[in-house]
Amino acid sequence: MNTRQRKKHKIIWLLLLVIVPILLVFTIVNLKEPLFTHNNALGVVKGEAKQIMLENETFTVLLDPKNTDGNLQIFLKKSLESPAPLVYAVSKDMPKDSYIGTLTAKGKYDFKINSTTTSVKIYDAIKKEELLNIPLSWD
Amino acid sequence: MGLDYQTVLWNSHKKKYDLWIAIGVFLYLLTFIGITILTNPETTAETLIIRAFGTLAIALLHIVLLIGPLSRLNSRFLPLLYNRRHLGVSMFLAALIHGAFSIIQFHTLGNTNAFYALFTSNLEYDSLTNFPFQVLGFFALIILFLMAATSHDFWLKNLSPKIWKGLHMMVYVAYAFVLLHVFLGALQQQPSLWSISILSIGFIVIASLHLKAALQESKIDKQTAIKVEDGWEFVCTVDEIPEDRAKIFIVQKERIAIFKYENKLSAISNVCKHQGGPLGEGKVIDGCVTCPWHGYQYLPANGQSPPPFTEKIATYRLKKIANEIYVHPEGLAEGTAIEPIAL
Repeated sequence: MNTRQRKKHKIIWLLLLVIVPILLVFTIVNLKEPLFTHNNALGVVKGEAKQIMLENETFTVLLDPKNTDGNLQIFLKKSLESPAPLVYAVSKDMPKDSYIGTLTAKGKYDFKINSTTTSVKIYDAIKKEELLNIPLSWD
Repeated sequence: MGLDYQTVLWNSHKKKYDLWIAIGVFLYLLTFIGITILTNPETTAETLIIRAFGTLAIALLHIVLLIGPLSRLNSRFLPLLYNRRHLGVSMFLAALIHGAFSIIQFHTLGNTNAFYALFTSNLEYDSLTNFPFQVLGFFALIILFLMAATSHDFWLKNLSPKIWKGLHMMVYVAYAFVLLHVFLGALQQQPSLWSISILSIGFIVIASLHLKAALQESKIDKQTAIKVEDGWEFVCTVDEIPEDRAKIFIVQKERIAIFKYENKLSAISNVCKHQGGPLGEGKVIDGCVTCPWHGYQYLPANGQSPPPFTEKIATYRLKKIANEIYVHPEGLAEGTAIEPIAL
């Protein structure tokens, strides 16, 4: 390499050494509570008045009718094969299902749903198939 | 060094090196697939291929990026540098298999064009933490493709060493894209402390070695002449240069190499015409200065590659007063013959 190329090489690595770690830290901070386990979820339920709508090795779905900020919690305990599972609220009053979010990775998701919602549907938009339909009980 | 362009200039060294690459790749894939089947038997064949080749490409990219600074810091690593391009092309092929299977698995089942879907399935381009990771992987693959496609000496010669080197320095950008592709993609879906640690340590090691080598080179570049007499710069005494070897000096902000051979002294540019290798770190073999990187050769008295080769580098005038060597900092046109200083 000549002097100019050596200088360019040094500048590139100085920049990478500053920029890359900052971006990586942001992505690590953004991880969705990866260590949240089945037992943690149950612990939350016991401490607060939440009802378990579904409990299996992949999902824990909790409903808290009193919480006005986010009354539906979905704990995704292991990754789904579908790359983009969409979550819909199904209601008898609504002609179409309402999209409420996407499950992107293992972790905890909070959703706010209307009390007229009768079930929550998890839908694979790519394969266009329903993965799961969770009936809700508001009692 | 070859006169005609051939797909691959095979020799026993390269064959041995490539055999080790093939064995390493085979063992890695076998181990990865074996462990995955044992620990997660539900994994589909497509997912297994995507993960096995993706991790293989990342591992090879780390090795490729380590070879450069290690060779600068310790000449024992130079044999690895000699055939690095084959490792680079292998890495690209692994990344291509990963990319192709990912596009097939994630984007060809819908009714939109797979590449359109790649860019539009996640539109959070304004988000730092939810940025579409597949797009980063795609652009990294494009850079790696350009590098693999132009890795042959035909392109080095026709693009010019300057453009070629600039293009191949893009590998550092590709590396940053690959890291973000993994951290924003695979690690968000399956967070793993093990994977985060391995990649972070990998980055720290690679960045530290590159910076260490760069700072060491900067220190050499800052050297100035100790003594100047009538425009001639004193460089060293005759005894300081070993036989059939050179000492490197800075004149006019560029490096030159002064070689001692057959009781003579000659000065040439330190930069090889091939890939910019440091000629002054090479040896005089069969009367020719031989680049330590890929074996390109030049006659020390005129800076020309021996016929039938046509490469030429700049030469410099020398003079000897008693035991002291002086160089005239103005380089002569590439390939200009100068009578060597007799000792």
